[in-house]
Amino acid sequence: MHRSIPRQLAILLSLTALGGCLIEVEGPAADLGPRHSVPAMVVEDEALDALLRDADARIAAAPTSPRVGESVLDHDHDHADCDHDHDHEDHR
Amino acid sequence: MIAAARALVLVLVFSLGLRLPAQDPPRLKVVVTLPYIGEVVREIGGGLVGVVVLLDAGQDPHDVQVSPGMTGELKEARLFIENGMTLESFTPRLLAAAGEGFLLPGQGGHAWASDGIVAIEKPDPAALAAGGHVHAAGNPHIWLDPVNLKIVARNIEKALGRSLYQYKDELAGRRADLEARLDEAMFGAELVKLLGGKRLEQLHRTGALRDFLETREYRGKPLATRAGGWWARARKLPSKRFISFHKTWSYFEAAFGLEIAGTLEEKPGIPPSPAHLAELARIARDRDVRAVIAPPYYPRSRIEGFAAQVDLRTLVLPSQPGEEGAPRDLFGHFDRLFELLESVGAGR
Repeated sequence: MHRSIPRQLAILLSLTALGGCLIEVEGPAADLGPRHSVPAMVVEDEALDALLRDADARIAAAPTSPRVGESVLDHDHDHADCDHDHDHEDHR
Repeated sequence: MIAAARALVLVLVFSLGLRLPAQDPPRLKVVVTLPYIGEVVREIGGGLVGVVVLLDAGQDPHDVQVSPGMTGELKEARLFIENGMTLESFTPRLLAAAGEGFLLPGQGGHAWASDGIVAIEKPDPAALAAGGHVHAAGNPHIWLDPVNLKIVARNIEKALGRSLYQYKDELAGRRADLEARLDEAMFGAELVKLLGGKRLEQLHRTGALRDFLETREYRGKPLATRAGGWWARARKLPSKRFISFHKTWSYFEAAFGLEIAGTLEEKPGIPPSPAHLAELARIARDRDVRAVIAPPYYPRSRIEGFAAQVDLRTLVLPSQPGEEGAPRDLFGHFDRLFELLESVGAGR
């Protein structure tokens, strides 16, 4: 009896861990499985490539615009230069 | 034997403990000035935040008295978010009365929703000196361009992340989801799939989108005809020319290719002169304007009086979610705006 306790412990802990895993996959993660195993299909589309290049060139031509893939928050933002004028006394 | 039983009990308790529901996450109290900011905070923060919106839908943000109730809300707030660009002139008084130093601009408990948005209609010094209700930082009604809401969402994700840093992935996921839904609602699923939401956003922000979509084709169809969402609805509006009361709709006008032919306010916050009204009436007749548009908080009798004089429709438009019967969510608000604008027919 005494010797069998470690085995009981191991079984209980395994069941607990298994239960925990089962509970985990009940959430949104349960939807993720098969989609992620499908490799992305590469399609040659020269017309689309040309469109995308044109779009990116137009964005690049704008003097102050951020580039594709770059967030405005990627820029260092110095609040000392921030354009908020908070002298509200003269506001109205 | 007793030791074994104790061990077994401990293991059972431990196992049960693992199966108990996770502890509720903290709810960060966030106080915001405007309804649209509240909606973006709810979108990004989900169940992690409790949001208090200080201004009621339909309340003029330019003209707000600080009340003890407002000050009281700030006592327990961990984050205060305002639009900025001098729209909410009451917030310096409010924050001073609340006396919570960490909610002041520049501190960790304060954020500007409009941070990083390029302002339009920045006044020259002469306009500022002429008086009236002039916004020194430019037109502050930034949320009426849905693409600006993506920048607002990033600002709010960043601000919430300062306090909820252990939930950063969750906040980022909700922000990305909101951005994707805004892209699709703005441009339609087909165009987003073809060009990508980020590229569309940047074309839009540089002012190059309309010409690009109107002049380029893909597989024999002009790109503009592949657009859906609000962008396509705006393109099909029977009438795109309006007179507004105040410069509320400038970002909406720019985003959707409309034309605000004039404003009833000669200078913001100052009643118009008879000469200004006569000139506006001439513009309305010459340029085939069909309606005067205004949020509900401007003097309706003055607007309707002018509209009747020039035989225009008066269209009261919600400038915020939840205003004038509009749904409380960001998407329902823009849907309602387009429903109302579509009701203005091609003829008078």
